Amino acid sequence: MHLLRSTLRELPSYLWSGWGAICSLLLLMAAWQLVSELYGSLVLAQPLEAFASFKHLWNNQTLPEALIITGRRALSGLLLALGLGTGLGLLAGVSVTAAMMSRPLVTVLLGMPPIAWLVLAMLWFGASDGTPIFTVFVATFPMVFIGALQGARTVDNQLNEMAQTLQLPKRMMLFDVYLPHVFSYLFPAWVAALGMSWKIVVMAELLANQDGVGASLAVARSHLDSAASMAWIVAIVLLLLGIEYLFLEPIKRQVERWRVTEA
Amino acid sequence: MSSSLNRKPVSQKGYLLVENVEHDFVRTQVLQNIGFTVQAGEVYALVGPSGCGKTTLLHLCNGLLDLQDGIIENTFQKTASMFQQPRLLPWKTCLDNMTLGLKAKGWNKKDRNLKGLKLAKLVGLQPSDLEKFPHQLSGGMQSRVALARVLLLEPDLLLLDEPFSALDIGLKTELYQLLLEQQTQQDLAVLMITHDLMEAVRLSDNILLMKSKPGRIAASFKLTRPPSLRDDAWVYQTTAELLQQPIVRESFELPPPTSPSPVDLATREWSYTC
Amino acid sequence: MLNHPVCLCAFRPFFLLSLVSGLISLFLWLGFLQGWWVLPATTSGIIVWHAHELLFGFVMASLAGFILTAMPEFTRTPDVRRQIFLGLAVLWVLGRITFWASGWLGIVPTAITNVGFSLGLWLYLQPRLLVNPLRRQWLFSMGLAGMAGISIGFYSDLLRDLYPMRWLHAGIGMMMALIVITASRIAMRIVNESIEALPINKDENDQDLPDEYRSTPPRRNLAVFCILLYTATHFIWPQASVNGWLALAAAASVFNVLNDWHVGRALFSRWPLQFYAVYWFMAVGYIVLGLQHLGMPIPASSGWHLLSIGGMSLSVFSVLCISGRTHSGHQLDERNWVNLVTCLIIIAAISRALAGWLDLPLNLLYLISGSTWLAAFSITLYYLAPVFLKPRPDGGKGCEEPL
Repeated sequence: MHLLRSTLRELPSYLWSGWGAICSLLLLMAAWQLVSELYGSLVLAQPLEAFASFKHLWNNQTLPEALIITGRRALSGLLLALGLGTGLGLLAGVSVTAAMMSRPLVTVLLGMPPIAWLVLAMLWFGASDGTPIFTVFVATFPMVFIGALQGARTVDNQLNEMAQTLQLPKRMMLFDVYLPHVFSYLFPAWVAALGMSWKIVVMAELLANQDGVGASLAVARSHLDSAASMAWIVAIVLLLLGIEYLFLEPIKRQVERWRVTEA
Repeated sequence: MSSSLNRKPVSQKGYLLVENVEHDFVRTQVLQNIGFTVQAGEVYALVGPSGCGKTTLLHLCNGLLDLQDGIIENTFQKTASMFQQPRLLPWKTCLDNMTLGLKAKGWNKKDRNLKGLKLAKLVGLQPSDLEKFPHQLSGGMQSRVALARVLLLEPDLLLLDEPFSALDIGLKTELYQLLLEQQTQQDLAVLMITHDLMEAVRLSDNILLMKSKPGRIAASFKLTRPPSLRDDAWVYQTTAELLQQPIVRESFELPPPTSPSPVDLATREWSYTC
Repeated sequence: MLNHPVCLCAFRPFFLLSLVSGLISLFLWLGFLQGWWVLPATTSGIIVWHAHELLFGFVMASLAGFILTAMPEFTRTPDVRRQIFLGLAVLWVLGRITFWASGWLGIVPTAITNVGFSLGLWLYLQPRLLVNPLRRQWLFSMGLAGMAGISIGFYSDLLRDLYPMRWLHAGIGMMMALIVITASRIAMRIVNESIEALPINKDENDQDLPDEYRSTPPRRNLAVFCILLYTATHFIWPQASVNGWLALAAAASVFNVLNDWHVGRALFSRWPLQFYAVYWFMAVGYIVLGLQHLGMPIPASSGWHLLSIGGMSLSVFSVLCISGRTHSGHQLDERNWVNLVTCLIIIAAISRALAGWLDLPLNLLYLISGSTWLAAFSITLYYLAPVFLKPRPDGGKGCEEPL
């Protein structure tokens, strides 16, 4: 409740600070415009053409439908990875043996290119929803796992001692000492996983599926429709920006208020 | 030799008895045959070079280490500890940090905040500071919060591990002054670690001089003048006198005095036993 | 003559000349638009005459007065000598006369006087601006050099018989950048004074507000960069669509500067609010220009006039009031005419910007805009001329602030 109130109070100034970001994006638009004028609309559609195509796709429902399909796949894979990664990572962090054992495995998982997983997933799941969901899961799982593992491993022993001398009960040790610390590692990992999932799902769909944003992008490409391709890309980027700046960043500010160093 | 240091407890208010305590880390002996007793209202200072096992001894007293050999008997009702660092939870506001101990005892938020606010004024914290997170405060302010956190528990035994050693001399004096006021008012027993002999002379009734490898008590000094009457001149004089003692020099690994003693030992207000 | 109070400090003659010349040229222009009279023939036509006189006449004189007074203070160098600033003022007057008479005299005399003035101003100040390593004023130096360069470009186009309007647009852009730089300097003081003037009232809601205004260089520099980038591309490719995005980026960067300005109640006092309005006009002006470049059917002149009336005229007025009064030994003016004039200028900017949209009556809007502008600056002249023409009330003998 307190969190919500302070978020609302800081909202206007937070939204206004977005002008800096908008300014950079508009400069990017200018660069896009220049390049498209230099190489012609066939190679790179002009921003306004792409926006017109975007509007068209939005109005005939293609875009929202595809976004929902893709979003569902990304979220399913992500939630799976968040749940399993956090749980297993914490368990591994509590035991030194488990941490020792799992580190090389996670390194392998992290190092494996997502496209390799995609190939395997296509063998196993074909053109079904399983392929993108599995690929998202397997690509984001190690990030979450390692975040949870590190969070659990690095609990500050000094604070632990302090809490012991104050005779904090078990429940308070968990909620006031351990979890806030672990969360400070977990949250960035979750955010990174979210960004990753969105990119992976589009890639997986592009190669494996008949519907969704990725598949539509593939169709636009095969029609040599540069405006539609850019429209799809704009949709992907806009959604990512929206999630990042309107959802995650405000949460991050509140959750990590205690970390912010005075400028 | 330690048996001569032990006086049997006389007060009913509680005591901390340490007897024949020994401690090993793997194969190194860090504490050997430690014994002393702290009673209510007494201030004991453990003085010695770095690495002589002072912190280990304190951790045995506050239960952060398990006792291996000997007896530690603590009959005080409430024991509280302060560490070298403020050790505040970075994700809690200063007020929440201060009242953490009360929360552990099951006080409700309103009561503990009320009590916290009252004490905050006493240790020099502004109400606006209390809403801040630790990283927004200076080191001195953080130490004040840590001190308040301990005092809120109304302990009768305080174990101090050089809590203000990182602060400048003015702040250090101020905070120790605050502590001493509480000590005399509440009849607190204090066991403090310091490697600063002058600090020990200023604050304590008894100085336990430790020697390292293995850590053991080399001598015990009893200061007879009450802390409230100790002015700077007395503190300098007494520190200098103590530093003339061969046992002190040996324990801090100082070279023997090259010139004859500049201080007159005739007026000393302390006694010592080995 | 040299002992007349008007010669006490550099801003006095310049601010006075600025007001008088602005009033005359806008009066003539308004009469011409309404068909009351025709203007004497000048080289390359009347629109160029209108823009040139307001930019290199009205605004430039205010800029010169401000810079010649403020730079010695910013750089801790001695005040500018009377002979120097009076010489520059004479050169500026000659520039007006020769330009107005360029139909008869030809281009060379006006080129020499106008370029001579802006180049002379820069060259004279240059050593001071860069001498003190701790107080280097690079941005001001480059701004003045830019204005001199634009003047040179303008006349070289005229001499080669090209249409020189692009240089005047570049001049507006350069002035916008200079306003962003200057306003942050003045505002640092004005806004903080209003914050200090607030009654101390530490209620819970105000805890999060900053208790000091600080202009952050990164935001300011981003705005200057975006404005100059748009100015440059618009100069090179006046018709390109890329200008649209860059103008919108400039608008966003100006809004971004306002992050520093949201300091709570202190903003709602007259001087901070004036500068705040200046930024808003600049941003909206660039938005209009941007949308126009991207194909919306709106007139570019709306955008240019939002920048020049809302941005430039309003900041000229603020500078005249603040600099003009404090450097002649007066306190800031607390009387109501200041707010009246501010409102009149805002009406002038908005009514001129609306001209040419849809089916709004063009001539009526011109008339409203022109006459409110004239009214605003006539009132200013009425209240400020005595300040510039009379000795200091505190007996001071130079530019110093109230003793």
